[in-house]
Amino acid sequence: MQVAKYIILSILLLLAGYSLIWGPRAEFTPTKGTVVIQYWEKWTGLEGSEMEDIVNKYNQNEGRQKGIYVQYLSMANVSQKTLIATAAGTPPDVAGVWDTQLAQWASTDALEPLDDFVRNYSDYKLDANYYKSVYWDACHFNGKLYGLVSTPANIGLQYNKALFAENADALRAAGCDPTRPPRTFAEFDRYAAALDKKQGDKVFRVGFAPMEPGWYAPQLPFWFGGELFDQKTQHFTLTTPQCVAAMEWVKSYSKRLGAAALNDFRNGLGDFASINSPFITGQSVMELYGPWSANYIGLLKPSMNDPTNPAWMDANFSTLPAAQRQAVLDRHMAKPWQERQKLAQYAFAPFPSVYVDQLITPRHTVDQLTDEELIDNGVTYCCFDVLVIPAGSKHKKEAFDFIAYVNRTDVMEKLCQLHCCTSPLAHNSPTWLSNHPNAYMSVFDRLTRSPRAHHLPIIPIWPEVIDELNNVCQRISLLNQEPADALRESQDILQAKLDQFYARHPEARGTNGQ
Amino acid sequence: MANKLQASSGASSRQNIKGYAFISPWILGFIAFLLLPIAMSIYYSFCDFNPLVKSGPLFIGTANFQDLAHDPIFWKALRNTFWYAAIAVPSSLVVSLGLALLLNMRIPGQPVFRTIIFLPSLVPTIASAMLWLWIYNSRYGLLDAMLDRIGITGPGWLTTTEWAMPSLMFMSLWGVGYTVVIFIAGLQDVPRELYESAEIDGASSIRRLWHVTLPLLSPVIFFNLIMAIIGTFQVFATPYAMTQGGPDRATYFYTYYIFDNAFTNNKMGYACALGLIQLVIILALTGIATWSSKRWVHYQGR
Repeated sequence: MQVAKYIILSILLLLAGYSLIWGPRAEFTPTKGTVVIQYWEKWTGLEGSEMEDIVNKYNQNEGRQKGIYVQYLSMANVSQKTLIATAAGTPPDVAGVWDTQLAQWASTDALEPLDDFVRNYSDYKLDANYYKSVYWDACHFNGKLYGLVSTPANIGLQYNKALFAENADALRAAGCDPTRPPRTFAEFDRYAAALDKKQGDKVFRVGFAPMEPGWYAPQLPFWFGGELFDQKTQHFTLTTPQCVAAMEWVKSYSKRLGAAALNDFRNGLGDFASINSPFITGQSVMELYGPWSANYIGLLKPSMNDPTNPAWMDANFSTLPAAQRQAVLDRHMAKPWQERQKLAQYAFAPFPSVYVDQLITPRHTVDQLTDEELIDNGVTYCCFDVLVIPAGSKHKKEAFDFIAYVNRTDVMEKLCQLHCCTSPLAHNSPTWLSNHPNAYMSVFDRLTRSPRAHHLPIIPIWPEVIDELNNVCQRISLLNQEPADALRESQDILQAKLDQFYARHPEARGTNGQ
Repeated sequence: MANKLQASSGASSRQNIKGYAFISPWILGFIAFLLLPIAMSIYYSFCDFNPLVKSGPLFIGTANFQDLAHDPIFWKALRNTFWYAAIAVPSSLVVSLGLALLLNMRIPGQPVFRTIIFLPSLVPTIASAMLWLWIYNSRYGLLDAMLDRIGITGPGWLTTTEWAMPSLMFMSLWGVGYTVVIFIAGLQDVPRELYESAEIDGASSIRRLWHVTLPLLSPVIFFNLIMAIIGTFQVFATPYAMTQGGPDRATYFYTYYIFDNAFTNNKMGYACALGLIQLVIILALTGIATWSSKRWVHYQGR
């Protein structure tokens, strides 16, 4: 028995020794003199590995030439970990966080300003003209640049074309055209009501539900011509008629469908990133959504991208070998974007806005509105992930070199296509739109160039603001409080919090947040 | 004689040094990871402390506590936590005691039943939360499917302000396995002869439970009560994973608010003030329980 024990132990020791000496090695070991920078990123899973590919390319080419090696660490809760590491004085050199944190961190000097780096960068010209203004402006706080975009998105109307066709009679009966999306709020409400499927007190399908998924419900005032915050006066504007109108609209859907029935319905919905996503299952016909949805649809229900894909594939796509999956996706991508648009069972369009509503006159009816009018008067909300250099980084120059590399046109386009996102760049390559996995990228792209493209208000206490606004939306959609009252209460709470923040951190007060 | 005393005192001091050397890792750990953080946390609760601000904490006296008095979210989170504790603590004690009594009976398959009851306690909190999200799902959920069979339409368990909190309370019973095990251990300590005497005196099973089991089990009940109070005031992971504190902050718990202030809003000083109040509340409730225990906890041999 003793002998057997020693034999097993020796085998294990031999195996461990073998692994140490001849075991797997990192693809590239930085040579002496190479500056190693730490890059922490929030993306895990597919998005994480796509970014890893970009990091590896940098390490193999530009990084190797310049003597920089990026150590990539994909992690959950990146902002909390970066916060603790920065507070401890050992931050990563580059952190991939959200736009929602930029002003909060910049206001306390926790981020390195990038203006000098941008000015001195020589590989290509990085300046305001290089970016779409909505993204460039949102990267600033009190006149200083604190981050550069990694992958951005913007929000529009996602709708299920197949369900429009399936319910063509009901839509026509409601005075709607089933071959196109709604263009005005009045139309939108009619479409939504016609597409609802209700039996007694039970809702089985919603044409639209403001809280499904509800991520952008707090930003709805933008589509109603309102703002959440006045950057110049540093005051919240939640009690303006436009904000109240937006929340009244949220309330109207709960009233029409019944708050209890709607809650019961929402309680049964699956996760947005699963085959049970309400848009994929057809339980939610129209949504306020971003372009990345096309990626999820392609992976979760290929027949929605292309009905010629066999039905069995929908249920088993994720279990297919990677090469087979990629072949299906490649076959789809090989088609011209116009054909992909035709094949897709879903589509994207500008979400209705009061600006479009205002164009309607007895002589210029809704059916006469041109695409240009719809886009030029369209509203969108632009959000993004951002690369920053936390204060205390040991290798700022090298960190910026990597950030600038990610922002290089070809790299940025590749990343945005992989993540199925909008491009933050003012000028893209000629194939950018046609090669994008979302065949409707032109809609999103044009919306980001609209003068009514909004970024989130630049407020140092934004995480508290969005938490409060999300609760306001929930309260209103549950019919627990009148919109005007809820907004007035929140206005007072948030203004008091912001004023207190500035009283304690007067240096953070900006005049216009830019 | 004097030499003997000197030798013995030398030996005893050597013994002391050895003793301190052996417990020094614990003492150092206690000072570094418990005492010092508690002391710093108390100090920070009187500061405006954003961990990202280079100048460090700014002493602001009792301003954090004054702000708390006027903070509606603080009161909401506190109310939610008390409400949850008021229901979850007694119900988990009653259910686990009931289960322990059943599992203490000599029936065939007793170890299997004990294992089944204990198993959910081994499931990680987040995994349990995911499981219960499906159980509460109104379209595919087990609960609604069962209710449908008897003609009841379930509400939006986690999406309505009325039902979200009771749903979490009910779910808390899922993890009573540990408490059950402690109760079973306590029940095994009750001397058989006391039951036999009570039986000879003609006591019914209810009377035996009331006059023999519960008094002798009272120290265990007391222990479980204290642990449950502490546990319920620290509830965080379940609402974080299942409801994110919603809808309309109906399941927004006290510890969740501490977490948000510390790690989302970067208001570490405010979070420390909240933590200090939480400590005082737990100490007060534990104190009340300990004070009242003189009346109802009976230790054997006293």
